[in-house]
Amino acid sequence: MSPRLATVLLWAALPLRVYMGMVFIAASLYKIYEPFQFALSVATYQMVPLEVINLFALALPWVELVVGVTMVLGLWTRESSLLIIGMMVMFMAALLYALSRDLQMSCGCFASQDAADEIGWHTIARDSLWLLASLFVCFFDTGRLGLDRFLSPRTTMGDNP
Amino acid sequence: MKATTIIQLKRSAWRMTVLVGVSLVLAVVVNLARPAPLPWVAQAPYEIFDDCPEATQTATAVTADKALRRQDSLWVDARSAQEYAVLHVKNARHVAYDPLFPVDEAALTAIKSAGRRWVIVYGSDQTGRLLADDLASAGIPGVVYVEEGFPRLQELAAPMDATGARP
Repeated sequence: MSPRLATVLLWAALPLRVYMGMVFIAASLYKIYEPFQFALSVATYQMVPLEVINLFALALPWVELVVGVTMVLGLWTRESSLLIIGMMVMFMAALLYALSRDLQMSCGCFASQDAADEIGWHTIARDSLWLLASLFVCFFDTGRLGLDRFLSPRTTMGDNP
Repeated sequence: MKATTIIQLKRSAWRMTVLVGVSLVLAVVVNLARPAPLPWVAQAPYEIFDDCPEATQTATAVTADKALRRQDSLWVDARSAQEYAVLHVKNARHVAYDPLFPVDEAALTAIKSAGRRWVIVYGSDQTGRLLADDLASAGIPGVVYVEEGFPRLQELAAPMDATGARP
């Protein structure tokens, strides 16, 4: 890849990185504030064993928040985006599972089950776009426009020598 | 695989472990600080709403005057218990339609065991049609519903009663 193109892609990845970070921070807040409601959302998907629901509901929002903050700051960008990609794949698998069972329910992504945002193919489409954005960041954000710049910039994974 | 790539992969794995580890520590600390911490393992199953059972059969509509002329029929009142108590078609059974719950098994058994040729369902609004669909879906033969429901039966001066059989 030419240095010029790499620079263009790097700058293109910047707003996507900040946006995805903000999305994950926003998604984590209600879950942290209302863990029971989020646990109920997890249970509604009927995918996770009962013994794991609360563990999942308590831990996942903090991973979202921490990774969201590091994405916004551009700290450990590659690793943060990889975690976000993993979570997006997991969320989409859960949505597809719920849709395949024709469950009429709220996504539980940004608000509790009481919210009116019923899941559908539009939710899958939205998450697909976010997954693509995360992949773009993962591949093209080499960390030079964030705090990664100050952490061994020469050896940041994916940097062209 | 190049040595530098292996080092980078190891570093990435380590960093991701740190990110998840920090998150878990925060989760534990904040949950402990809550006035009512959420237990890490659920004590009882969560009460979630299951999908309502959907009718798989569609009952036929009949006009009120045709329904009144049918012989060997069992009348079923799909309205609320209060409405039924005030006035209902003579000898009609009360089976209130509730969109959130399946039809009561005892009511289904009673209607089946009546062995009538026709099961004529009436209600107010759409309740008659919906209950009729549910009854037909439960395998009861000869289920029909009255168009325009109870108000139309009243207009036609159908024989009425204020007390009746309840399954």
